[in-house]
Amino acid sequence: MRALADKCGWAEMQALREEIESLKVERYSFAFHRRLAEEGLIGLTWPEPWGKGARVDQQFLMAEELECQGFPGYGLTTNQRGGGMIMRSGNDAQREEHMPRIVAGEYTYCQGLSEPNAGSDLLALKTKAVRARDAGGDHYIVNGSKIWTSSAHVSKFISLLVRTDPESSRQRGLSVLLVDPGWPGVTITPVWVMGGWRVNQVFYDNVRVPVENLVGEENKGWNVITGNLDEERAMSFGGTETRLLCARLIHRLSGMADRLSDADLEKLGHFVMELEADRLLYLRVGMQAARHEDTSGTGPMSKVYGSELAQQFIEWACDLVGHETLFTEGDDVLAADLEQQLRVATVLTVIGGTSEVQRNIVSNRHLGLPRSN
Amino acid sequence: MLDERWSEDVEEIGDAIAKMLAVESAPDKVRKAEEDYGGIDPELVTRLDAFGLGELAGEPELFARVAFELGKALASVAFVETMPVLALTGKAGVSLGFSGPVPAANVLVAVRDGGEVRIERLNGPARRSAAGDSLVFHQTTGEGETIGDAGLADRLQRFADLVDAARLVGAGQALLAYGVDYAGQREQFGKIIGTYQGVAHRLARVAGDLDAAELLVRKAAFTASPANGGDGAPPPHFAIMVRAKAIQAARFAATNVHQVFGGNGFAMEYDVQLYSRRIRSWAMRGRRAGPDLAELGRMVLDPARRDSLTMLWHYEKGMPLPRWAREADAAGGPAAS
Repeated sequence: MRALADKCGWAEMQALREEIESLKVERYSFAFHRRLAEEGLIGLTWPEPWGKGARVDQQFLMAEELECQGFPGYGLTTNQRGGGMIMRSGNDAQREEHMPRIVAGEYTYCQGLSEPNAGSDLLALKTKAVRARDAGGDHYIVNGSKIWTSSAHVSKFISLLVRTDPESSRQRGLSVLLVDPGWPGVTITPVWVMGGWRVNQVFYDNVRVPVENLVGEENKGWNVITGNLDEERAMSFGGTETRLLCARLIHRLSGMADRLSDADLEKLGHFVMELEADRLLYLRVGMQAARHEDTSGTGPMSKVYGSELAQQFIEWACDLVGHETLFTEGDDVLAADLEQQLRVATVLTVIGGTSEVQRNIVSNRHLGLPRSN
Repeated sequence: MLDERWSEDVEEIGDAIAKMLAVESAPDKVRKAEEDYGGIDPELVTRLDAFGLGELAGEPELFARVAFELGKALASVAFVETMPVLALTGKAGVSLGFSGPVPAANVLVAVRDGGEVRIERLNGPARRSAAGDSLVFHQTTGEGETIGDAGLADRLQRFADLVDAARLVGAGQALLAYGVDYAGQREQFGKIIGTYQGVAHRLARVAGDLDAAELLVRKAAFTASPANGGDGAPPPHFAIMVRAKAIQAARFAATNVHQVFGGNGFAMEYDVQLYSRRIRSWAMRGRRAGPDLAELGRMVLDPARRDSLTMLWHYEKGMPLPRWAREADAAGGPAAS
């Protein structure tokens, strides 16, 4: 990854950034994703013939390096999550179709989970799928809507969590379907967010989904999707990009310690220390996953730590750099990146489960306290 | 550091000490040592001697783990203060007295005098601390055995930062466990208080900070090891970080676990005060963490010092930027306002 970074000058990074801007997806570049595929870096931990059978910690370090070098890592994360789900829960035919195309960088995935009235309370979801058989074959008819479906407009498949047992509630009676966003009845509407990109609300109006696209068992979809949620919580939320911004800020201020107040020097030392601590929490999750240990408590702990730290850092960094971070246009790339991160970091404590949800999980799974009210 | 756990050998010794301390340093014995013996438990001192602590030798990680267990058990001994001199010179029973007061229980103290380190006989009046032990502000006599130079002094201080941090984190983790246990049993308004987010989230925050601090202890010990390029003590940036984080996390634990206990936590009958008085006292015995962090800030802003940093974040050495960032940021912009 460092060799890749050494080949990437500012002109090349600008081209990647222009593509990200045109796609309107956070840190997503098809060009870079294809490059990763060419280098054989997608699905490193998957068994042969699809992956390389690498250890989870090796993949973890690769992903960390990717983000710390400032490359767009979202495509790798979200598509490996889709592939991981099919690896774990899909049938042979699904694995045969999807896995080679994922590692080739051709098949891409997003997640259809949250709904307008089922956000943090994901299990309150209402989107339903009814099984039907007619001249067109055995299929599900899907109705409902999902929100915050990041990258739906550029993905080949949506991993859609639906209720297939109308009599069920909460985690029972759910199923996961692979839906092509281009199918009749699927309408994708942009939801513009502060980071400068779009997420989506996706409406499903009598969408016919072949039963072959069911992942795992019908009504057992929660087991399928929780693997994804655990992976999501094991991601770095803010720490890696904050380390890069902090390093760039340090280089910018190099040799200028005398121009900083003692309070700012102390704060800088504080963030250097906290970013080390955040990395160790994040590293622990990766190592535990590599040893097949339970990360359901440590993952959320790392997530909440990194995301809140990212917010604290960026408020201070923008304040320190000063007026140039007021603007969304200008020639100072670092100031512009800090300004953007000030907007982006706002959502880090929300996506992937709010800090409140994460702390519920930490207190329950890590500390062993009874479930919170 | 890829394996975030204690190594197997250290884990084995740590577990053995923990088992012994669970009995020999139970809260009733900590109370008795404070009430009857000035905060030093003579039986526990004998037990630890028999365990071989006075001859402890090995990797910095081992010392860190022992300090962690002694902190966790609030052990009424003045051993952690002697660890730096023991680990780096093999001399037992010598407190490190470079800054702040030292335990009255140890008759020897290592002082820094110009470019040398000297062991002197402890000199000065003992005063009872709020943590229940007795401390002395050593007044140098100028007489004693010279054991090393400024280089040794620097390593001793950095080693002290590591074991001080480990003791604080151990005490913090034990206090958190005590608070979680209480929150899982105590009922108010008809419910277990640990089911209220206002209580549970406090404890979850404490857990995050303490786990981060504990992982930093292990990494600082890792960086200290000669096997990993260290000089027997953590490098300066890790010495600063491990101590500052431990102080913050342990104090945060003390404040929040007191809050979870409500009025009961203020009562001497409960053990919260046993932990919080010691945590707050240990955190204040050396340098203040704020100026240390400012020094860390200066360290990373000085190109030569920054380039010599090892194992910080994901970097092996220094803090190199990706090529694109070097080129993009080269144009520069306004300096700090």
